Amino acid sequence: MSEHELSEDLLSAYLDDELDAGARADVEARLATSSEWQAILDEVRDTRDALRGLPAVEGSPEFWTRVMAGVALEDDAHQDGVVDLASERRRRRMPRWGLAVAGAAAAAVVVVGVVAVPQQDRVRPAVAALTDEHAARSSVGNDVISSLASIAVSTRLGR
Amino acid sequence: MKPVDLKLGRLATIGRVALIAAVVGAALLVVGTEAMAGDDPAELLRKAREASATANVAGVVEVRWADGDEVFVERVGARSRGDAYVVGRGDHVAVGRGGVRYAADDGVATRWGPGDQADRPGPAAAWDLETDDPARVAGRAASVVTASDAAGRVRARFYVDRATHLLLRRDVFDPSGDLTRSVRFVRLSTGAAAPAVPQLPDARSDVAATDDTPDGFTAPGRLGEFRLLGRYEHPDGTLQLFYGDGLFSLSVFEQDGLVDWDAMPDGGHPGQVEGQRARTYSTAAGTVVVWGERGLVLTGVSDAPADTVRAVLPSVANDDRSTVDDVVDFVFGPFGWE
Repeated sequence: MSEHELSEDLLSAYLDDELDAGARADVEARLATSSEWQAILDEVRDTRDALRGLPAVEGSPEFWTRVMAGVALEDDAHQDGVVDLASERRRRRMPRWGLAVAGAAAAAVVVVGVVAVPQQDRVRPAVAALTDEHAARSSVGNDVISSLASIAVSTRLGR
Repeated sequence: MKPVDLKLGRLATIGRVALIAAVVGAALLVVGTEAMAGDDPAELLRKAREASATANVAGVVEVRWADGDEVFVERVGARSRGDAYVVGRGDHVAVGRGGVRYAADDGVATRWGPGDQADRPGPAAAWDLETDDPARVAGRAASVVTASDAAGRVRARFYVDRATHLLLRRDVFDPSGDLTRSVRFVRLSTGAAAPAVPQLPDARSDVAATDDTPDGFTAPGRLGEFRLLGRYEHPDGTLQLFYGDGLFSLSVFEQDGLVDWDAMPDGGHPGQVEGQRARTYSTAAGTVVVWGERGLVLTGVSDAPADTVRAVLPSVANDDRSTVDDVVDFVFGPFGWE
């Protein structure tokens, strides 16, 4: 009875009726005496029900083609044709800490995108001031009075 | 009448004729020499540049510019002595002393320090210059120089004072020959007293000459016939590129960002530069074009004919010249053909 460690995988397999009789009896015995096991079972069940409650979406023909190609690759990887279902599930399922890290990373990406990446500012060029700047620069080494005259008159453009 | 009297009278007549001939000959020689010097239009414009730096004048300058069908005319007082200049007065005044410029405009004081500039091209570097019939400006005799474009159209006319070589008037024309901008003395006296340079706040602009082009900015060595003479970095990050073609000048101001079209000054005319939205203003200083390209807000300001300005501005953000080309231009630019 004590040979099984508490794990979501085990409880998920229990819910999916994938355990042999001995393992199933062992799990039920632990559930009867452990509130911790019971709480985790409830959590796993809720998650599974939530996923099953999602609307079904029909994949496009291209999607299924890609899926089948992926399956073919998987088959090639397991050339002996024998797959340990339980270990495969454990391998594929991301642990809880992994989900947390992934979520934090995604949030960091969003924050960096919004805050750290420089946004282009809206600029209102000071047309009148830039015009004066040009005239002043132009007057050096050139006819001074005709250049400065354009600074002294009203530009009618505001600053 | 005695014979001796006749002889003396004949001698006197011959002497008078010889004297008159000598005077006329000398006068013709002087006029001929002046005419020869005055016939070189590029030399006339060079002298006008030099005279501007040393003349003592007092007068009234009229600035006239057209914006579509609307014509604006403003007059300002102008005085200069040596390297000191005062143009305008009160809330609108521009002051020059040496290479430094000050301006007070509606309570905003600005100071521009001297900036290093490469040698300007000669007056005939980009335009066909010719002397035209003499004229009078502000009651003074003036030599006239015309500048024509490659199509042979007169695009500018310069009036140079025969007595002092001061530039008395400069006109700019559109391709149809219509006057678009004119700056001229309407009253002028030379040998004036030293101008009283007003005390202006020392509002330093801290604009500094730079050899660097910040990342993301562009600094073509040439824009059409305009040659890059200097680049300046402003405290707010604006990069100013200053160009000259020998007769006219062009500044391109580059700012990082996108044009806030809703905040632009009223007026102006919509248009495009290299397929990008643009707005063109006609001002007392010349043509101003604002547009955005490649994440930059670009403002071009020039006293050149507007169509010339619009023709070269697309090259600003499409500088596909190599660094080697720019180096060659920088090194050999001052020795270009004129």
